Amino acid sequence: MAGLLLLAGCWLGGYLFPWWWPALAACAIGAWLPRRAGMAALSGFLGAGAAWACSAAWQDFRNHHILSHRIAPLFHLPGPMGAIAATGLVGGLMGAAGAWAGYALREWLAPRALAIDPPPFVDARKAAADAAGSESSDGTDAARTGDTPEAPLAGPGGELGP
Amino acid sequence: MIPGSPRARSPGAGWVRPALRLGLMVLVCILLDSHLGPVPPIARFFSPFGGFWRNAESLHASDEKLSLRGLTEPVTVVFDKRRVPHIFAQNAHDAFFAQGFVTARDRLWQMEIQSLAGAGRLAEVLGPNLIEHDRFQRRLGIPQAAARSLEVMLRDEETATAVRAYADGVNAWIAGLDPEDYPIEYKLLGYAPGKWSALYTALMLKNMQWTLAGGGDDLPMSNTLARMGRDFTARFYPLRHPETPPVIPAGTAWDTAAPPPPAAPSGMTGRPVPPTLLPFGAGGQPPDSAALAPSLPAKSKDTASPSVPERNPDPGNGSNNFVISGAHTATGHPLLANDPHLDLSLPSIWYEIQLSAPGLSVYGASLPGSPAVIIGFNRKIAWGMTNGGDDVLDWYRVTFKDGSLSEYQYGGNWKPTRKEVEAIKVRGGTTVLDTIVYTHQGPVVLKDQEQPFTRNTPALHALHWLALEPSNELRAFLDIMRARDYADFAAALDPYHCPSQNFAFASVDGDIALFHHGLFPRKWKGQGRFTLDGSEPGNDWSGWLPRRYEPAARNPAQGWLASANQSPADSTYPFYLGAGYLDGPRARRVASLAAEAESLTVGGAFALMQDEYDLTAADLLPALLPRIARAPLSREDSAARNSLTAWDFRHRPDSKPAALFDQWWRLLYKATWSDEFGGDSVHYQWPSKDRTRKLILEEPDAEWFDDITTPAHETLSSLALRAFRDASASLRKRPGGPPDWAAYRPVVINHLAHIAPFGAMDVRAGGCADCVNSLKGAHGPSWRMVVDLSGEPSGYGIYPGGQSGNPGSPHYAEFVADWAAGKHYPLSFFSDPGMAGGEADYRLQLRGR
Repeated sequence: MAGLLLLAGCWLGGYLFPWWWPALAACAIGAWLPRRAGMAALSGFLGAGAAWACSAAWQDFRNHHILSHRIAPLFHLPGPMGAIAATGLVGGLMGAAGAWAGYALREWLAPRALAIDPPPFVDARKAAADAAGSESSDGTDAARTGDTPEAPLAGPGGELGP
Repeated sequence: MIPGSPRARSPGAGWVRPALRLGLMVLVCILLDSHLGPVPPIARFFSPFGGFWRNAESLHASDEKLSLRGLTEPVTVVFDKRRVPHIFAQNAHDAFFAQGFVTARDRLWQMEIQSLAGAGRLAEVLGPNLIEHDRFQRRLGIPQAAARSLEVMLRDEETATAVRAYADGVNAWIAGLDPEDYPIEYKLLGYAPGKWSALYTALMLKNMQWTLAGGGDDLPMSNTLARMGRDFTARFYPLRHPETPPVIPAGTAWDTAAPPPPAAPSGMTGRPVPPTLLPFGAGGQPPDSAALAPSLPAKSKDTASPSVPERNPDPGNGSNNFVISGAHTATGHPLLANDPHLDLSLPSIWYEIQLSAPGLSVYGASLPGSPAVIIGFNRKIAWGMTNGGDDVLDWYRVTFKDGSLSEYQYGGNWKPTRKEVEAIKVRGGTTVLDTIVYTHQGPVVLKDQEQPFTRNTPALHALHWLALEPSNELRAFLDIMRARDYADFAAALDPYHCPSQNFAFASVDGDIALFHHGLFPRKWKGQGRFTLDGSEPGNDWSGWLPRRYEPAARNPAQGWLASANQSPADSTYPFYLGAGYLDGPRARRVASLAAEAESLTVGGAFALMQDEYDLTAADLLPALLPRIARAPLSREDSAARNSLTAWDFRHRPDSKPAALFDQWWRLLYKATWSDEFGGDSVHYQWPSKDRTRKLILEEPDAEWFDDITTPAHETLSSLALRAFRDASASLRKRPGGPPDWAAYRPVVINHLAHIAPFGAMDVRAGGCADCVNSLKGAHGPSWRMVVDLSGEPSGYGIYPGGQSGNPGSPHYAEFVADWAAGKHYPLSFFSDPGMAGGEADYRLQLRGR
């Protein structure tokens, strides 16, 4: 969900804000939705990366690959698909770094927010399944130690919720 | 604290972790925004919202309406299917405003970079690698000369209107740009477009003068004279070439009241022997091995970084044009054809355009950066140009009193020099100061002990160059565009000074004409062929040749006129204009084909321009092949020889013998002269290939074929055999075996900043340096145009590029394949916007704000 939101945010904000927008947008989303650091980074990477790659792919399609054919060899990339993938990678890197930092910010500033109910549009069961099935990239993170999202703890919260 | 919350389980994390991760985020952004060598900031460049993807132009353009500050009346611009803008304005001001606007829309980066190159300001935007380029431009005096020419242009009401309106149009386009709209080169090289000014137009035109009138062999000729002596020089570098018909037909009567040409100063014979060899960079001092360091900085092959532009004009900058009278054409009306040969580049040097306003209706090739059409046609006349090649650039040896370069000897006295300090801004904030020393002749381009800029620049010599005089060539083009007949055209040429050109003219009235026109310094015979003694007043130019003495012809009895950069006039012409003309096989072939033309059609005129017949090969092979006929050759060499015997001397793309001949001739030429001119690294002028051809044909037993560095006695036959075996072997060694002509001599149309993927590489096309289709690797016909002057003129043309300067546009290299295949397009010349009909792709409606 965080990834999808970020995708939309990066795409729309891309027209309004400078190139570093994916980092900032991912930071905000990372501080809000994800329940684990690794999840935050992955959502950031996929969301921002997809926004950049899809936008690039759309422009490439309209252009019949004329420009990407000329740009790809400049960066030793294998053709238009390589240029699109590289675009996604660059956006994704910023997204991952931003979301990871955003998650850590929330850990520090609003730890309770990690325990609140996810917004109603987040499927808690799915999030739990994801959490259980993936290792966090953050080795020392408490998130690894087994939150139980199936039974979210009630909190006074709402400060970061929608 | 809520039990079980993550925070509760890692109480020690505190602010350190978020700080570290935020730092990491910032670091990632900083890294993605760094210049890594030639690589641009990756994130900015790859951003699909502001980076290069925004230059990926949609294939479908639609009509637009724009309000622009500066327009006085509404203007309609119809873009045809090839993206040629057809501008319909209600006055000349608006026509030039719109020209500036649409040209910037398609070619902004090219326009600006070419003007900055002229101004010696490349380091300002591209960095320290370009400092020496900029220093050279300023030492040549190009920026200063452009500023002086602009003053002249602004004093003339017509040109002032044109350059100011054009600048306003360019700036109107720039004002509407956000950074994501910048041409891709700005994004790649990391800078932003500046404001355009009328000075940029002057700079661009001055830079063309460098391209076409900036060549000079004075230094290598002087070195050759010093080494080989007068007899050799007179014999191998003749002023007259009886074999080659001059531009203006032999026998044309000259003004009988012509004043006598100036006399050489006493003691001068027309060929002053310099006191010693003049290795460039060695300041005229006796050569010693330490001083002879001619290695120029190697050209960068880096694909992503701009390399230093070639600073020496290509000596092959030439062109063909011809006009055929109605007596020899299929329609009974004149035909005019022109193909200027220049460095081929993407974006192309040319931009097609139609300009229409009351009293003005013209179509042709324009130079991005300048208003007006340079080569084209209107409703009554057509014109085309080839380079005149006259000697308007001379070097004067300066005898300075001391190392301060403050005084120099002149006419027995010491005269003070003038010094000016130039500030070269460098990207990053530094400024390099350079002091330029001037004598009354001009700037001292290269001081002692400096790294030479080009191989032809002598140290401690002052440059007297016509291009440094103020002039207003643009005025000539403004008048040419409006000319209605021969008299208008002849009068329009008056303000045109430099670079001298062969202006071909044809009109619907049936007139054909050719003017060898420019401003010519009055010179004594041979003056400036070698470097001159700057202390001798008699070596200075003595005024200008009045226009009425320029070589020109109108409606000659032969029914045709043609030029290919050869000598302008025959030996009866009383004035000396220069010696560097290209009196070679191309000029002879153009003249013979034009003379043979009967019932010529437009297609026939294109075929003539694209002729691939190599006159040199046709002359040489019958003389050379018998010399290797009986020699013992390997089976492969023997087959190669047989292929040459059967060759038709045409440089077609798939011809293997063409490649073999070229390689053989190259090696034989080198073997003939490398011993005479070897042994040191001084820059000499070797006898031309055409003169060497003559030597082979007329003096096959000449001593020059002996290699003086060996004890054996070589002959033409032994040199030819050795060169043939070497040529054949070297071609066989290539991957895939002996290449055909197009593989041996691939055509490369490089991007202006040498960004390889933005160029068109390995284009297969015919033609050769000596062919009428003078297509060398990266140099050749930059615009082919034929105009049929029957009734309403109809034009046909093509250039190796495309209207858009955006590598992400379908119109970027749109014409290259058709150009290489020898095709051409009809040039749509609309009388009003409504006439465009189905030929229109989209329209731009501009109105004032």
